[in-house]
Amino acid sequence: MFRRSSERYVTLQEYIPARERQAVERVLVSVIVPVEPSKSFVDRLSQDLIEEARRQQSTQQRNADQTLRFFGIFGGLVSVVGGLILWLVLRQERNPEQAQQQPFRGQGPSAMPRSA
Amino acid sequence: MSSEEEHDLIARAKSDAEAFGALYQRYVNRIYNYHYRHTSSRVDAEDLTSRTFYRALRSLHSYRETGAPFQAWLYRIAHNLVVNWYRDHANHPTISMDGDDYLSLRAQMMPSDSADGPEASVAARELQAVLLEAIARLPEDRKTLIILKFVEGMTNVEIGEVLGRTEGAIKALYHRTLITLRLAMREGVLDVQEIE
Repeated sequence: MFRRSSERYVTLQEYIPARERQAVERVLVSVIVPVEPSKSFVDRLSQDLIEEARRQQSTQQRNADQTLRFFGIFGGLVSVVGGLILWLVLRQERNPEQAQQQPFRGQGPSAMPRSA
Repeated sequence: MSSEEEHDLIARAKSDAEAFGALYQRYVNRIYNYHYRHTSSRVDAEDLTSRTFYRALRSLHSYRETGAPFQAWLYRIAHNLVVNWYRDHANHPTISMDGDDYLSLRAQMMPSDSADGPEASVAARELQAVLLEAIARLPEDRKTLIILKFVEGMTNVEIGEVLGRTEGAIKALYHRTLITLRLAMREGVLDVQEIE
């Protein structure tokens, strides 16, 4: 099996003797030496990142507070509406006759059934 | 720093800016080095290093200890940025490694004349120059492999986590890379056997 690589064909399964392999690796180690970034760059980026992290955390905290406030208000409203519904249902069960007469309420004396 | 201490630091960094700063200090040199080896430019390496850590800061909440180690996770971010960088610099201007960065690197790298005499020293320098240029011409994934293996001392499994490949695929890629570099060295001044 062949593959074109840098203007020549090399065999993929080509064998490299251990000595040659070690020699290439040794030269690689000597060539690729670590490079240090400048101290000013490291310090400046460090400050920027810490500031950004603080800003991000305060934003997250604010979002969490807003979410909590929203659910608090929503929960309160649900409780009030639920309580009102429960009160009406209980009232209806306690006095069903009065509840049946309720459609006439508020329509004036002319709407009331006349007695003989 | 032990693995447990690092786990603790990562957990704290999700809600503590100072802890993230400590994580940054721990990895900044390595990430910078990684980017510099790819770009051969201090400006580009600084830019990519900044973007790597900003992206890590934004995504840290989604990092889970159960996945790849933090180092591999961070290098994966760096790797993705390098891939984009190569895409943006499709004509690979860094192959012409004759700028100030390269010269200072070469000056830093080159030892003074060895005990074997000036001729051997010159030969060794020429061989290193050939190899350095051959590395610069390698495709992005192979260059990443060489950097992670020889600068970071990562295992094939760890490199696989960064590149998203299996250990076997990394071994095969490494083998092919060595063959390419050996050919480059043969085309150069010396055969590898001569340096022994």
